[in-house]
Amino acid sequence: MNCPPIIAKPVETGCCCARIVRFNALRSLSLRRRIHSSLFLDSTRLKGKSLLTIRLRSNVLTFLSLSAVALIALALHQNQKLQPVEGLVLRAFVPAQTMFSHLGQSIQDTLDTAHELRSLQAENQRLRQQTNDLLLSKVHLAEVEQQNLQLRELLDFKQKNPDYTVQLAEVIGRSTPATVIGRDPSNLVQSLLLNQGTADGVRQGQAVVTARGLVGRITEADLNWSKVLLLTDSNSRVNGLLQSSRATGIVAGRQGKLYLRYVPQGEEIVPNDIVVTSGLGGYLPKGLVIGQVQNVQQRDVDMFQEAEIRSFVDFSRLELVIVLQDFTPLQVQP
Amino acid sequence: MTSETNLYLPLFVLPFVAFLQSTILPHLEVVGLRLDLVLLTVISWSLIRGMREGMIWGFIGGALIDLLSAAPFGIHTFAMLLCGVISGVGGRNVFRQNLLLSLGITAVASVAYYVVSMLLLQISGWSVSWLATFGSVVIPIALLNTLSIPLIHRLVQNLQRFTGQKELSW
Repeated sequence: MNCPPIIAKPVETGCCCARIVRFNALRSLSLRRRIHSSLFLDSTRLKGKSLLTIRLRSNVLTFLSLSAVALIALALHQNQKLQPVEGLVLRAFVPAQTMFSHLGQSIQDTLDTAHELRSLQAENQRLRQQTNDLLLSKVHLAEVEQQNLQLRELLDFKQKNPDYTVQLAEVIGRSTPATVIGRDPSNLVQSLLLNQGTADGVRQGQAVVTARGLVGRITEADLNWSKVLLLTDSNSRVNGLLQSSRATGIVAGRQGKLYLRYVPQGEEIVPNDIVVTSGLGGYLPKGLVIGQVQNVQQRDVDMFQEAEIRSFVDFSRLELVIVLQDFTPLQVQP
Repeated sequence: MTSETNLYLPLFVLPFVAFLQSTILPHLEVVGLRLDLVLLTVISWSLIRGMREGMIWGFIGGALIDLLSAAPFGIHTFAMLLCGVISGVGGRNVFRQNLLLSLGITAVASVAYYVVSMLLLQISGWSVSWLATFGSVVIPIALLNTLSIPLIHRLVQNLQRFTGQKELSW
């Protein structure tokens, strides 16, 4: 900052004039320095303050704009209006995602090999597998037996009511094998990303299964991808049926586990009983294996009983799944 | 600010990180929980480069998580944007090379990320069991994230040096 030169005025006071002139000059210089320094500091402070304000304002504006975009996207997603854009972007991601998935699978295989070196563990695994297979065979046999019984009852019903037309329907069997190319990156939601989409006939609401039982349902589908909400997610709800007592309830996920809820107090829930889909509601075919009752929580003060279910499906190691595309709900028409 | 914001860098880096989180990390789960690699990258970048870039990285990272997740789009975008702000504020106001500070910010940002995500999930009509999720997901994951941040921070610092971006200072 340039300050105007200060001219010391000579004071005509006889013999002391020289000393007074010097004193005035020094006082003016000191004053000048003080003003200069004060002005300089103020300007720095002012500059710093305005810079901070501008940056703060800019950050607030950025935050508000990005928040607005995120919340508008959320609102549009709720109205199903964002799906085309989302679908388009994810469609482009699918090849890369598939490549990464293969890499992940290779890592998994390597880890598995290391684990399988332990012979005891391998043996244990084999025996467990065998037990599961036997259990599943038992389940299928029991289901066939139940079906046989029901068909006999229906036949009996038809014989007793010859005027009625009874039409039975079942899973037709058109299904799409799909590869799991990704899992939900969020720890809050349990879902899978599949490499099959609407181009392969996959639609929202279809059931996803493996040979070991029900996996979940399709929640979103686009040209070459679809998302499956797993049974174990806390937002999954499926109508379940106990194989032996034929009691129904709702199978819901909670913290990665499965529970059969809302079973009336009068109904009997036996540990190790098999839970299958009831087919009620028409969203899923009847008889798909969900799991086996592990323990029952029954209290007289509650309106309903609850049971923890163990699924035969290892949800953390799913690679290939089947999407059931066409099925006709079981109906009895008069 | 001593260096210009590079908007292309997160568009290249974050999809790679998101794919890793979706495909490879599920095979390396710790007690059924997986590391929030995208979140940690955003926090780390925000600590190094400040709030503004943290917000941009958070927005892009969150949008990618939303794309790959079955949750409604926008939830993770907003939650991770907030994490960018939190880390940016923390990184700006105190000495950012402090390890304890990074750990503290990561813990706070992780909890904030999950709380906001859960809140938005509930507003969107999804069922959220707050207490159970807090005990079995939020706290363990926040702990896992906090323990992993020194490693991720080192990697992100290397990335930042590799891409020729200067560390920002106030």
